This record gives sequence, structure tokens and C-alpha cells, in this order.
Amino acid sequence: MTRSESERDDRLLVTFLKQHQPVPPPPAVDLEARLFAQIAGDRPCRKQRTLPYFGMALVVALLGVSGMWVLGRQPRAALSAAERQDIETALMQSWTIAIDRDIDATVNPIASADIVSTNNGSEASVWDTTAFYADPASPPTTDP
Amino acid sequence: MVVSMGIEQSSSPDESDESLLQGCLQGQHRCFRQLYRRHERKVRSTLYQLCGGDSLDDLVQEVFLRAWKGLAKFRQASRFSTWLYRIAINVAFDRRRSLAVGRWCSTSASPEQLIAVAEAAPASAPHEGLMDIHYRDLVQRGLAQLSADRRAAIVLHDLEELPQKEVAEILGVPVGTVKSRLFHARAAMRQFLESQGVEL
Repeated sequence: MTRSESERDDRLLVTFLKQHQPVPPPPAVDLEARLFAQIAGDRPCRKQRTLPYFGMALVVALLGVSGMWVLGRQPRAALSAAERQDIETALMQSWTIAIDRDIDATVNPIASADIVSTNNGSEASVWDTTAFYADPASPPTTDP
Repeated sequence: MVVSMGIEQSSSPDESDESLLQGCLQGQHRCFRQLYRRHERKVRSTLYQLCGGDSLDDLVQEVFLRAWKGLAKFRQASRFSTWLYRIAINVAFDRRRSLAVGRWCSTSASPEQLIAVAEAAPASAPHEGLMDIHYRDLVQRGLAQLSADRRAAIVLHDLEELPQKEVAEILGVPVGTVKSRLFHARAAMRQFLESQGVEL
């Protein structure tokens, strides 16, 4: 079916529908009077007050801001003086050990490396892998 | 000219809907009466095509009551008649829900109604014959078999002669959806009428 045929069919149908469309029965004679009796002394509802909406929006905004403030706060643990002292001592100790090792490494790098002894009595650095190939069955021992 | 409250001024018949609305917002019932008389017939016809004759007066009254109560919310972005049609559609849909039927409100005429129409026909429309009454009943039954959405589209566009854009605004759907509903509604109506022996 072409477009023009379809349009012609639609026109025919619409004409038929309009020609034979159901006609509503006439209204009751007192319908208008009943309607206006219902709205007598009444005015159209005023626009709803904006104050409740404004108040709700304000509450939501305040909740949002306070939520962001709570989430944005950094956690700060309250430490006692004794705990602070312990932490400081621990930190000082770890720093001291680290500094001592650094000094040893600077003065004698070989001495600071781990020394292992082989079973034939000679000493070798852990990096000297050829020492182990002499007797692979004997595990290396660490000098005390 | 009807003056309902005595102190209210009479209104001109050609007063625009907008100026009558302003009067309504000031509580002037005569302005609303003017609007009622201007639009009642269209609202009544639309409701009848959608819901049939049962409680038609109540439905019409409901539409205008809702309109009166909601006048302050009417923003005049659309025409008053468009807004009123929208209320009418909502009332019809509410009616359908309250009846809780699978289809739309039944508009098929009972035999008693047909007899009453036939008896009244010579007085109201002397040219109207039995075939006209028969075709009218067929149109009623054809509309009744459509889904609510399609029925609303074909009633508003083809019977009430509203443009598709306004139908879309009333139904709250895109124009393309209105076109689709019209296409399917017409196809269903054509099929029904042909099945009843009507040659278009």
C-alpha cells in the first residue's frame, strides 16, 4: 500500500468515525447548578506556600554541609604524655640503629657484608658463589 | 448573561480564556461559569468517548471541580483548553482504575439504550435512520476494544480534531508516540469495522 493510499484510507476512516461518533446524552438540567453550589464561597486554591519547601531545602543543605564537615575531618588520636614519650624513644632507637649501619657501610663495606665460612675453613663472602661449588653437599655456616 | 453573585460584573462572551482565568483567581465565579459554558461540551464529549454514559455528569463535574481547585497552579504555559483536556484524561484514567477493568470503560450501548436512542431519533435528528444508529454503536464498540492509550489518541485527534502536538502535550508523550498510537488505533478500528461488514 502506497502512502497516498494509506492517507486516503485514513481520511475515509476518520470521516466515518466523525460522522458516526457516539453523541453524549445531554447533561442533567441541574448539573451546572450543582457544580457551582460546590464551589460557592470557595476560591481557587492558592499556590502552595513555598515556606515548607524552603525550610526542607534549608534542612537538607545544613545536613549536607555538616556531613561534609564530618567526613572532611582528619582523624586525630589523643595521645597521653607517656605514649608520646614511648613513640619518641622508639623513633630515636630506630634512627640510631640506621645511622650506625650507615656509618659501618661507609667505613668498611666488605666487613659489613655477611661473612660465611665454608667447611674447609676459609671464609667467603655470600657474594662469592664459587666457594660453594667446591662441596655443594655441605651447607654453609655463618660465623658467630 | 448569568450573574451568579449579584455583585459580580457580567462578562463578555468573547472574553479570552486568559482574562477569565484572572477573574477566577480573584474568586469571580461568573468567570469560571463562562469558562464552563465554553468548554463543557468538548469535555463532555471526550469523556463520553472514553468512558461511556455511566456517571458522565459526575465525571464532567469532577473535571471542572479539579480545574477550579487547581487554577492557581495553572501556569499558562499551555492553553487553558489543553490543560482542561489533560484533567479530563486524568479523570477518565482514574475512572478506569476505579472500575478496575482490563480494558477501557465500556461504552457499548445496551439494547435499552439503543431503543431509547432510536425512539428519540426522529425528534432530535429526523434524517437519522437505523443504519446511523447501528454505525454509531459499531464505532462505540470499536473504541471500546482499543487500549486506553490508543483510544485517547484517536478520540482527541480524530474525533475532537486536536492537532497531534496538542494531543502529545495532553497525554504527556512525544509526537512520535502519538503518531504510532494513531496508526495502531486506526488499523484496529478499520479491522473491527470491516469484520462487522462495514466497507470504507
